[in-house]
Amino acid sequence: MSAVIEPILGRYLRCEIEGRPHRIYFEEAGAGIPLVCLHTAGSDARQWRHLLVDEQITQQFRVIAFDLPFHGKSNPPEDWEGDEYRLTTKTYTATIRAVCAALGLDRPVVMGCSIGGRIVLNLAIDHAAEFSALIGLEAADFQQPWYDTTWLNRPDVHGGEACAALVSGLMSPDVPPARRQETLWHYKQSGPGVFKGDLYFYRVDGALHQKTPTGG
Amino acid sequence: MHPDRAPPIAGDAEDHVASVLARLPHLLDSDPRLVARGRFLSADCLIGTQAQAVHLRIVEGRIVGLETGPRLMASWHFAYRATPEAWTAFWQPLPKPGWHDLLALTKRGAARLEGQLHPFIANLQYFKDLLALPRGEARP
Repeated sequence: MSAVIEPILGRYLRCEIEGRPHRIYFEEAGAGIPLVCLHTAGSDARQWRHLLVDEQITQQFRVIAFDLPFHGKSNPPEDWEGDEYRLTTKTYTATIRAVCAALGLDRPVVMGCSIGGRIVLNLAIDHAAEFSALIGLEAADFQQPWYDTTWLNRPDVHGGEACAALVSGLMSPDVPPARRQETLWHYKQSGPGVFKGDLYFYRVDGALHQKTPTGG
Repeated sequence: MHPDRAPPIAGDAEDHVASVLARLPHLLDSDPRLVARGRFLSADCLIGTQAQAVHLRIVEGRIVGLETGPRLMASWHFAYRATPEAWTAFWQPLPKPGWHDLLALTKRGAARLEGQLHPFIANLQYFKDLLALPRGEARP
């Protein structure tokens, strides 16, 4: 097999989010309408690697996928002192808007999966004018918990293995094995308490079922 | 299942689940990679249906004991008990969404997880894969 270098370009962006200095890793490929892709809880922008090399998409869109702070190659904020990580609607919204502004994006499309699919609903409710489209994948305005997230960050449980094992239930049994392993590998690599902290947004802070129209 | 109801009586459906579970030691022995993933796990579990559950003794990832209940004064770390319908759906070669995963079954109320959950959670993928082993078997 001859070597192939994919067209994805990865860079680091230093910017302030809610007044705190951050260093955010992002990848991009393509040209055209900016399409900002939001990864799921407990994982990172590697999830978008197939979209980033899709020729049809990248011919029309500048696909941008960034790692939220604490995820992938985006560190926690510079002034983080080790407090328990908890994603909030306020911070998640501010992060997306700060990254879009720092990259100089003009009314981008924002597409998110899972917690990303939830936050686009918040963006639609509160900041619709800043975006030309908002796309939710595997999105829900509310998720009834079905397990205790305390298990995800304890010294007597391997958090990475536990996160991946829980997420494995969200995958169809017939997913191609290589894709299954790759997806779960990312969850296994997430930082201590990060998946748990993201789920705080999904299940508690960001619950939207009282804000979205009934029957939706 | 209402806690005040008389315990259910095992019928053909429950017996079938127990007989499938009884094949787990053999199925597990044929999967050395799965055994290796459980090498730090030793636990006693109660697995099956409300009326008819199987006591599994796991030592270092291998099933060293299996007894179909009831057992007098048996101890177990955790119990996972589902309806016969749930097990049948779970063991389909390609199960339907919502019936494909142990925690999907608890989520929909078709299964109950009880007891000291640490060994279950700390070895979650092992248990998911162990209890899915019958999926690979040819239908009788």
